Amino acid sequence: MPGEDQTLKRELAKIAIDLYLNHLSDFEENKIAEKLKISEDQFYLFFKNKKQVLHYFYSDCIVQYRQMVRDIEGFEEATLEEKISNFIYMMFDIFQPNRKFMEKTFDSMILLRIKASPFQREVEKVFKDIADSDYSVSAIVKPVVTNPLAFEIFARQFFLIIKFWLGDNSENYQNTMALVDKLVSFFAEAVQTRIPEKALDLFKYVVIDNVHKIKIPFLDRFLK
Amino acid sequence: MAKKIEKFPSSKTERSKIFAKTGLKVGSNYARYYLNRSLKRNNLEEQKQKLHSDNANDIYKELTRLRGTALKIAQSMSMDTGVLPDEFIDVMSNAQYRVPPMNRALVRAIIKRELNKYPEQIFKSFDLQSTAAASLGQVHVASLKNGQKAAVKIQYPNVRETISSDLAIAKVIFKRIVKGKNLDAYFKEIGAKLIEETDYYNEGKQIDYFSELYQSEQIITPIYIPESSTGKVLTMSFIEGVHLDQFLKQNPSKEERDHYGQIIWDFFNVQISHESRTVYADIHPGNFLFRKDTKLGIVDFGCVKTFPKDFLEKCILLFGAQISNDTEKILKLYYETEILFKEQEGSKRQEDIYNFFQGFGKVVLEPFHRKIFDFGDPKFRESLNFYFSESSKLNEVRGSQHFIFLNKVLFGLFSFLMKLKAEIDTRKSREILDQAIKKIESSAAA
Repeated sequence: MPGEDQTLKRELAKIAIDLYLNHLSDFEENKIAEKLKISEDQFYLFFKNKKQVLHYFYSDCIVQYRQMVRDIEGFEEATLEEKISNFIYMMFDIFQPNRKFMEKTFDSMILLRIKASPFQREVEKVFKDIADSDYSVSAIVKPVVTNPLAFEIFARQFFLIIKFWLGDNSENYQNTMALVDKLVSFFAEAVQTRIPEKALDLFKYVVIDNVHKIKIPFLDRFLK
Repeated sequence: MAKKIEKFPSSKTERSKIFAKTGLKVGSNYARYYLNRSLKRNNLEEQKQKLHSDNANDIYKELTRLRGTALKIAQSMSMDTGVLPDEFIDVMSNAQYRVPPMNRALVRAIIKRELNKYPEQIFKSFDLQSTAAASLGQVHVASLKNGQKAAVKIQYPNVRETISSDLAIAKVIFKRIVKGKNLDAYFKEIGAKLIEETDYYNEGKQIDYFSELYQSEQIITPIYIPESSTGKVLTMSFIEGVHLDQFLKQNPSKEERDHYGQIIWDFFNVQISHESRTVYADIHPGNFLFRKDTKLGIVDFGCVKTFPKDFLEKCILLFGAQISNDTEKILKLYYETEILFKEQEGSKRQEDIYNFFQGFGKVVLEPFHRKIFDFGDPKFRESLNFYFSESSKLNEVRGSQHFIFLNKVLFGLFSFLMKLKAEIDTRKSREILDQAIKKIESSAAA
């Protein structure tokens, strides 16, 4: 059963994190299995090795986020800004119980990795889903912000915010909350701007349609 | 759909930049005004009004972006001290209700951080769309698990942390417009009150205090719900009712208007002479609810002022001296409450200030001269407006810093009663005032 598998995998990840943080010498596949009272063979049915269990923690956070979002009434109606900030704030809530583990592993397992981690791929998918479900983004900006490279950049920016959160000592992480509020607000404003559309419209009217027969030497030459 | 949230600039540099920009704008408005004046262009009075209006709009526009304490400081300095031009007061009083709300994701996140659970896990229902967004926080309607309707007040992130820097920079701007020996003390007083207002545990206590003392057949106040509250989230029972403007739209009878007017008048007179010296200082139409059961609902207990004994006693004595027109006593009390300064004795400025406060005091205490006082009387409104506009021409803060909140109460109360056009029986309040004066005088004599 997929649900049971997920529960078991979460249990294994929980044990692995505990061993990794508190009994590093016991952080071995057989010990993890033993703690959950399953055989080592059974362990390998779920994970290739102990490192993969730790990576599972990160990827599973996205699974949890998706499950939680389903429970938010009227989420589809949320604005682009609300969807992005909701994702970030919820991820912090999901991360919070394992903050110590993240402090130890986030840099090496996620942030500084040259090859994208499974977690990064999942984060990129979330941004893609948010972009796909939004119609407020300017038509000209849309191709720019909905290509795979953009999602990769967004994911990397998100990791930098996580890094900021991990070092944030303010009460209830107020500094991170204010930063996210500003960043997301700025981003939403930038991608929803109608300036490029209006600029194109003006350009078309003045230069291409050229109803008023205005001669712009440089552009004339350029268009020829 | 949620309204678009404005970004909240919480870093000192960013907030300073906005303040600096505001200062520059105010400066350039003045430059334009003085240029016109030096060129001797016509309609100087009109140009001066335009200058005030431009300044007020520029300050308001920038401060609304800052939300939080900066806007609150601007409101306090314009509305509560009465020293800024009328145009400022108009713009700032509107600002109370026009602050952009937080986005819904941030509301959920704050509740989760403060109460450890998402709103839908704590409440039976929770409206993520705020019903009112003010300078320091916003209010949401919810229902508790037991079905009870509740109001949940949520503070904007980092508001408390910006108080001292906002105050420091705001001082620079306001010193361009207003002068006064006590200006620093005024800012200090506003700062102290802001610290209190951003502590929702404190507001919870104040809700309990007022509920205990004033909940009656005529007044209803919310019940504090501490289990769903923290220092930044405040949950209380929801008070049904309509606001003043809606109430007036229903064309209430004279009896109804007088009824509510009398409640609010008595409420304040009892507080002023109460031994605790603690007064509800946030009188604006948004905080009072007119109910079908004829009770007056009072909400928002963030701004409550406990006056120092010495100050309040002097004010009460001043009221008495002003009513009996005892000029010698009045003069003595003006010095004691720092309205007049010994070192300025005999100066023209001192004489102007004395005449202003004498006239103003007479108007403010006019209700006590009659058994029944009609706040709908246009002559009273005219006299009061005349002194409000004269006070702004003084361009100076006078009197102890505690006057800020006494002014706030008086301006708020009078403007509320005038809007209501209520006829008030002042006999009981006069009795209370006379008793309080006697008590102070006899204890001084003893």
